[in-house]
Amino acid sequence: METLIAISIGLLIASGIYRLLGGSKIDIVVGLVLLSQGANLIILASGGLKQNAPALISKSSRDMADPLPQALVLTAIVIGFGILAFILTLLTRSSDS
Amino acid sequence: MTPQLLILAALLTPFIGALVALCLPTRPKAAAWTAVVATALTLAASIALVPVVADGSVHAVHAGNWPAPFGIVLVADAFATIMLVVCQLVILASLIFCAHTLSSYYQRRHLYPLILTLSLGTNGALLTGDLFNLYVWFEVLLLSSFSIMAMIRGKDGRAAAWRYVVINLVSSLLFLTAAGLIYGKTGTLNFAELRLRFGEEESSFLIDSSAALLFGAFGIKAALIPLAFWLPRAYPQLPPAISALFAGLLTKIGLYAFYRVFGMVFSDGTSFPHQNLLFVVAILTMVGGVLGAVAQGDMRRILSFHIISQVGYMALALALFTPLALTAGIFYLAHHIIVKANLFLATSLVEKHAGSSDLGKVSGVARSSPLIALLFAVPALSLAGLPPLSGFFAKFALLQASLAGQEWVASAAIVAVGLLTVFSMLKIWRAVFWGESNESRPAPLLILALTSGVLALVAIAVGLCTGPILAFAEQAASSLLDPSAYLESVLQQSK
Repeated sequence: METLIAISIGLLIASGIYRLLGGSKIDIVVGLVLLSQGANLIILASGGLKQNAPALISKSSRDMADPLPQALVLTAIVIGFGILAFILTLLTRSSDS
Repeated sequence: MTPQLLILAALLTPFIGALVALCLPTRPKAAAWTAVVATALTLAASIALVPVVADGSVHAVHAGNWPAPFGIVLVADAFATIMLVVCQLVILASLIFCAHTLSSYYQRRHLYPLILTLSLGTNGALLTGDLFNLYVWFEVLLLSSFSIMAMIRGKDGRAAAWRYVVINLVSSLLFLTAAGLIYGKTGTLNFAELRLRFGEEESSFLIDSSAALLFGAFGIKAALIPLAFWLPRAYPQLPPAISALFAGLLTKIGLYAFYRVFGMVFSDGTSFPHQNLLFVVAILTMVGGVLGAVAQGDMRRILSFHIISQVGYMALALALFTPLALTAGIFYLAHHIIVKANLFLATSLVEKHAGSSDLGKVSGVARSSPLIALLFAVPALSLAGLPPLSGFFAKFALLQASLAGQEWVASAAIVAVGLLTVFSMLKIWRAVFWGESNESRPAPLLILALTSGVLALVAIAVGLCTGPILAFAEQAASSLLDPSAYLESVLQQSK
């Protein structure tokens, strides 16, 4: 699981940087989106990845996942989404006029 | 009021003000008044915090009463408080200028709620006690500045806004990644808890990589060369009343993050050579910025390059990392925010008065309006570091610190860059203020002259009674170097 996530983080960030340096504005937007997904995955993985473990202490299972990275990544996703909306608006406005 | 209430007031007042101003989109006058009142109240709250923290005590608000490393904390120490006061002062001055100088195009585009959210983001970034919240407050601050930036019209303006947005988003992503890696390694993002962990644990690969990422992220935000070239393209596009705000706040909050994270949290807990790197980058920034400024031919552009050059001074203070250097750096930060904003406000006066800020087009302002000339001269001489103005003591303390550390290159750079700053201020003075002018020009509005005059008086007052302010800065510096009061106040409930 960790290996898979690590490889996908690497792929996301590498392709993000590649698109970011692509030159056209839409390339930059795609690059930023890929980079921010990579960053989100890093945060999610930073608490340690566990399967079938709830993010709270339960009586039946002793295993629990760290809830904080999930809260952090949720915040980061929301901020990333807002910024994506903003930057797309900026993009359409500059191509309109 | 208790310090806790004052800390909350510093966040809630601009937030509520922004909500109210948002409801007044068709009445810019009312929105402006809301913004001025909210900012004045915030300024009052932050001034009321000054005597509380002056003795070195630190006050923390634990949100929701969650104990410290788990909950969200807001912390006011001497450093955060002095920054709060000067930032709010500059926001207030800039608001008054915005209300009187900007065209109805800006007035009707939610400018005032955006300035208030900018103020909210600034206060949050200054007061927050953990790394992830610092990221969130940075986003609040940046999104407001993006939206203001996106108001600029014209092809150059749009290109500048686009560049500004993209480079700042890259910086935010670096910051976010660094925060994730630090959490992965240490299991906490709380400044106080991190400092404790770094004290006991060996530094490791993940911490060093985070330190490098944070260095890049803050480097972009603070505009350190080679990461600074977005700034002189973006800022001159804004009307000077708004760029006063940006010049005063944005890069300085980046520097504040540098001081807080590298000065206090990391301190010597990482093997990433941030001090050496910062030393080189700071000198490059000082020299590169001032050389850029000397080559420009417009007041807005010259002043924008000077932001970069002055940021170098404050970064150098952190790189030297002695009690005296940090004191000088914090004093410099406070002085610089006021003086730099005031220079842009004076530029705004010149533009209103003479119709342009181009060195080739305007001349004879000193003859047509000696008042504007005086209002420009005071912050200009202070920026250049002439006694008895605030800039002299900032530069003098920094020079003393670097001589005490036997850093000859840094000392030479401080003096040489100071001279070049005088030179480029003289360049503005000779072109814009000297000479003849035949056209009749409108006198400056009394309220604007008064606002700029108050900021100039602050620069003079800081120069005349340096003692208590340096003592306050020393208190702030010692709480960065030895944050035991900070740790105690933040972590007390978790014992």
